[in-house]
Amino acid sequence: MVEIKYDLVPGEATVLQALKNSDELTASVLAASCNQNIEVCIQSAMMLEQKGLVRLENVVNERDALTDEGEEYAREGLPERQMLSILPVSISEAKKRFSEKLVVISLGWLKRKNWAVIRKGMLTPTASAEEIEEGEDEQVLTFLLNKKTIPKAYKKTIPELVKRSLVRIEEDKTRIVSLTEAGLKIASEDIDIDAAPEVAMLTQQMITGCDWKKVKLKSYDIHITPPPIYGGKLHPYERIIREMRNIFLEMGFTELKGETVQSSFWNFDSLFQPQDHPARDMQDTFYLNSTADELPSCYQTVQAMHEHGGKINSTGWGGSWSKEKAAQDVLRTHTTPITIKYLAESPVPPVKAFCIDRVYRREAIDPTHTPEFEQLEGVVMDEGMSFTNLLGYLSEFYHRMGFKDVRFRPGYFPYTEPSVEPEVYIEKLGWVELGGAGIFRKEVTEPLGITSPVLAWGLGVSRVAMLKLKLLDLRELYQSDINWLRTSSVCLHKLY
Amino acid sequence: MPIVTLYYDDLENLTGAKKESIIEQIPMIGSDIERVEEDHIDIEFFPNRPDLYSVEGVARAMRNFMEINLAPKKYTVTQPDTDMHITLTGEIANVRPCIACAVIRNLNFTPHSIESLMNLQESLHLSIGRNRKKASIGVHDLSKITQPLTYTTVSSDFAFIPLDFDKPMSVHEILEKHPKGVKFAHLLKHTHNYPLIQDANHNVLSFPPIINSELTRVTAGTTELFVEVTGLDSSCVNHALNIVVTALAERDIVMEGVTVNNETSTAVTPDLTCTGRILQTGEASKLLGIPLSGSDCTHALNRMGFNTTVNGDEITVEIPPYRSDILHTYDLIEDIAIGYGYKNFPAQLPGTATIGARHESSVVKDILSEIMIGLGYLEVMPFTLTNEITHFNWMQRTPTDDVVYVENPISRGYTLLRTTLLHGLLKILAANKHHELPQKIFEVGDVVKNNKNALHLALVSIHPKANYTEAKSLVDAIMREQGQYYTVAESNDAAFIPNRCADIYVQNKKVGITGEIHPQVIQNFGLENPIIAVEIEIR
Repeated sequence: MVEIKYDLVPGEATVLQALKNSDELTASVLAASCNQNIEVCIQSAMMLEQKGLVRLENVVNERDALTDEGEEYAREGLPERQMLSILPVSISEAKKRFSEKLVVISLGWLKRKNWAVIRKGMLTPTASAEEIEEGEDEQVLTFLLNKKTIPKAYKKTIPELVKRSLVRIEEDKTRIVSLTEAGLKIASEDIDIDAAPEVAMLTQQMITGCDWKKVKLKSYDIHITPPPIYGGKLHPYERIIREMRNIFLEMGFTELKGETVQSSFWNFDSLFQPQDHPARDMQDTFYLNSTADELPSCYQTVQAMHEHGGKINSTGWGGSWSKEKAAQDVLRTHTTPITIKYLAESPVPPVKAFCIDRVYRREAIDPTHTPEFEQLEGVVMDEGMSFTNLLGYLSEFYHRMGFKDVRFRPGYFPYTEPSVEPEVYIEKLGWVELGGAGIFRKEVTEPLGITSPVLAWGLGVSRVAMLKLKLLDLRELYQSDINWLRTSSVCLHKLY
Repeated sequence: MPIVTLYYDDLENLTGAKKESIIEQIPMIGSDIERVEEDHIDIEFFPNRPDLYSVEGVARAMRNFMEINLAPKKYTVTQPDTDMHITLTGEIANVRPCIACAVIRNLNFTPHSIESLMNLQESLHLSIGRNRKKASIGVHDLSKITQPLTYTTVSSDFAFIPLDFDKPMSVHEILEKHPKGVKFAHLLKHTHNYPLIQDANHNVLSFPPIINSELTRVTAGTTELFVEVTGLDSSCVNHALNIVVTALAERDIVMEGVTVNNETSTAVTPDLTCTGRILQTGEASKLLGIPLSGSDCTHALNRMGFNTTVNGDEITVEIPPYRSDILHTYDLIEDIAIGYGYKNFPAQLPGTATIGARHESSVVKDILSEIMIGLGYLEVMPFTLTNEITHFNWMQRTPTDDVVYVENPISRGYTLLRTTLLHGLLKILAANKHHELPQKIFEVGDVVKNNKNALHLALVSIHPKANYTEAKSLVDAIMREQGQYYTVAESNDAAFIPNRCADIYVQNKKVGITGEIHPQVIQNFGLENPIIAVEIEIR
């Protein structure tokens, strides 16, 4: 036979003992027989209930009771009865005799009960006061005043009295405690009420002094909700940025970093953005009051490319190119000035490089726009690189980002040709454009001495973060709610 | 980028295909579908293809792309009558020197076609016209005009009735009061000679690039048009005109030339001849990464609206007069790719062997983050743009001379690039006042001083018992984990409580600050509990 140990603490044993000879006890009776106060007794009973040894039931009894107003009328008579006793009387006289409230109530009920009528300001009874018998409502009030049981037949008037706020229904809650079958079994056995003392915490003293053998460690409710512990952690957005960085590193790319302040030359001109391009307007780009000390030595070839297409059979943009405009400093509007500068400085293929960093656009702040945000960029420069290789890198990159389905559509960027817009398929959203890519134009590479094709792609990192973190407001990434940081999971669910 | 509205009935009639198949294929020539509605579709086309900014242009492109008709459209321009000419006089050569014109007859306007023309005009103004600076377009009712015309300049007191008004206004008044005048006055602010197009009876057609005259207003009943484009750049002006007239030519009209008499030369516009460019199939194959034959290329180019002649490995491509985006052979190769279909290209990873490497500063950043996480701190990533009040005043610090200010801030809240991190962390605490304390946050991020980036680490901890000991313990821990020896010295940073803060030194160089934030600073940020803070310049 399997012996089940219930680990009873003394209080619980006492309750079991007290229940041994009764079917059930109310809490107050139980407490009296245990010689404990009700709260302690119920606490023990609840522990026993969890152990399956007792049943606790809440019994609610309803009781009719007089309100203060009800009690007054039970003694003095209902307002209509009081008024009836002095009829006939003029209304003005009635008002002298009784309170305003009583007059108002009585008039209503005299009419409703058809005990009196008003004629020319006189209140006249329909019968003499004695002839009008005491109603059930009045009898009920009397029963309640004398604390007598109300006969069943009279119960139907209770709701009306409740409505008149003369009677209220009181709920009497009692707890009934009874033994379960298992409890009965345990209780029938001898229970050692002086069980080992119970302690809540194991101490160093107990361990070294071997006292732990003599005491009983209080059991825990393993289901309790403990106070939360929040660890330090990376920002969820940073975690996504690291994931992207790792993808590039795994694919053999070198990480680049660069200055936030760039000359227009590197930010725009070196990328063959015409000097009157709308993106260069004060409306879209943050300009600084400083200018670059000097333009790189290649600036004249860039100028020639803009003005007439340099030496590569291009038309260029026409017009004249201003050195002053190129020298204006801006907050980088993309990370491409960093990659293009790197390529211009290391024109020996193969080069595979990437950059993930903050960029600045003159956008008013709203849920989907902020004046600064992260951008990711990858470039591959090597002999023989082609459009199909670009699609190869893009597919690989997006697959590693967790997007299974990738497709390509024509796109347009001033510094790439051919250009492509990669799209990924996202459940419920359909095809979502997630960046831009292309092969750098000859107009870009030629003046900088880059002779091999350059594949390039960029991606709005915050867009992906919003999708992955299920955010609707971009600002939450930058002006973070600390509770969101505390409770967000370190493990990013693979959502797609 | 302009959004083009395409009404299905018009689109289907002009293209000769059902709307479903047009909508299915349209993204593959390079466009983004914005909205699909009951009777129309709104599409965004790329800025390099202004020729697609009208239903007529889209229909022309889709007829080729869907192979309904592979032959590119041919245009006929009737030679102008002797009177049909415009002469440049006055100071115009110094103000707005370029003009190109055309006459369109046999028009039969429908509500859709008139709307399309007006929208095309606006889209071209915005895009290749660079908001009317490089080119602006005027269309006029030819029946109200007596040839020949002059393109001249007038002074600011010259008056005529501008569009949408009923009495004459002087040029000066137009620039000050007429909505279009107010909007575009900046284009003429450098001159006192104002461009004007007049007819033989001195009636005004337009005051470019501002407004047309009421007299030549185009209405639904107009059957003959005079189209003029003026601007600063002749190729831009001609392209704009070509795009407008070739769009109109999609609907059985007759096109007539106009003679433009310059001081030095005479030309007839519109010039709708194609320009030629030679392409090697080998070059296309190499750039696109798949072997393409001459007929592959030709077929793809025909689908994109180009006429071609193959001669061995060489293809001569005729560039239609409405295409302004073909700067280089690569632009044609892209069109080959689009015509061939992007979906028909395999995605192939090359065997380029390279070894990846992290940037040193991101290695350092990761190490610092690891240390801070171990100390129980949450990372935050606030904005790097801030303002003087938060960055200096609230911190009780004096503005330094290494700050990068933005010339054209988007709002008063974002006027400069931060040179320190702490104010940003305090702002985050301020936004989280309703959450439980202690709150411990950190950032490892870039600041910009004298236009150069530097990496900083900063932390703040807010709770009722925050004190200098805690701050110093944290610096100890951070330095210990970096294996870095450091010393401290008394600090006079006003953001901190005097004698409860210290400057941090590494190798006799001041690198940071630690201590208890000054109660006035705490109040400035609207906070209510003691705060300790550390900021260290890393590299």
